[in-house]
Amino acid sequence: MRERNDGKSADDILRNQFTAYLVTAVRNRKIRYLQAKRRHEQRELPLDIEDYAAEPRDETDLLGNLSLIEQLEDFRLQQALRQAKTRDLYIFLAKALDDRPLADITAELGIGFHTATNAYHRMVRKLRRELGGGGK
Amino acid sequence: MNFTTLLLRAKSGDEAAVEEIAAMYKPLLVKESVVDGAFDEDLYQELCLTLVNCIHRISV
Repeated sequence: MRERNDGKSADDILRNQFTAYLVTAVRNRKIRYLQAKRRHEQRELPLDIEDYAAEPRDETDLLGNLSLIEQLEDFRLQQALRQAKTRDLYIFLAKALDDRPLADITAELGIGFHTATNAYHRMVRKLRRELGGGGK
Repeated sequence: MNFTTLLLRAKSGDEAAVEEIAAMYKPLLVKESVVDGAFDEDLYQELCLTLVNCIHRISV
C-alpha cells in the first residue's frame, strides 16, 4: 500500500526536493533541446533542389539531359533562379510547376503556412524584378 | 524501501535502484516529451539522461 506523502517526514521532504529539482532540470533541458532543434531545422532543409532541377521534361529529344534551370531560354530567369534561396526556390517550383497546394508543401517541409506564402511571393517578386516587370 | 535508501543506492551505482526511480518519474518524463501533440523520442531519451544526472548531483 502506498504511503501518503504529507511532506512531513525526512523521507518525504527529500522526495519532494528531488522532484522539484528534477522538474526544473527537465524543463530547462527541454527548452535547450527545442531551441537546438529549431536552429538545426532552420539550417538543414529536407530537400534536394536537384530533384527538381534534374526532372525530365517532354522536350528531352531537343534539350538532352539539361537540368530544368538550364533548359530555360531566358538567361535572366536562369540567373534569378540560381541565385534564389534553396527553400524559396523549392516552394516556388512546387507551387508554380506542380501546382501543389501550399498546405501540402508546408506539411512536407515542416514550416508554417505564412512562411511558405511569404517565400512564394518573395520568389515571384524577385523573378518579376529580374525580368524587368517591377517588384510587385 | 523508502525513497532515501533508494536514492542512496542509485547514487552508488545500483542500476535496479536507478530503474525504480526512473519508473516512478516516467509519467513526468513522458508528459514533458510531448511536443505539439507528438511524442518526441529523442527528447524523451534526453530527459532520461537528465534524470540520471539529477540522481547523481542531488545531495542527500
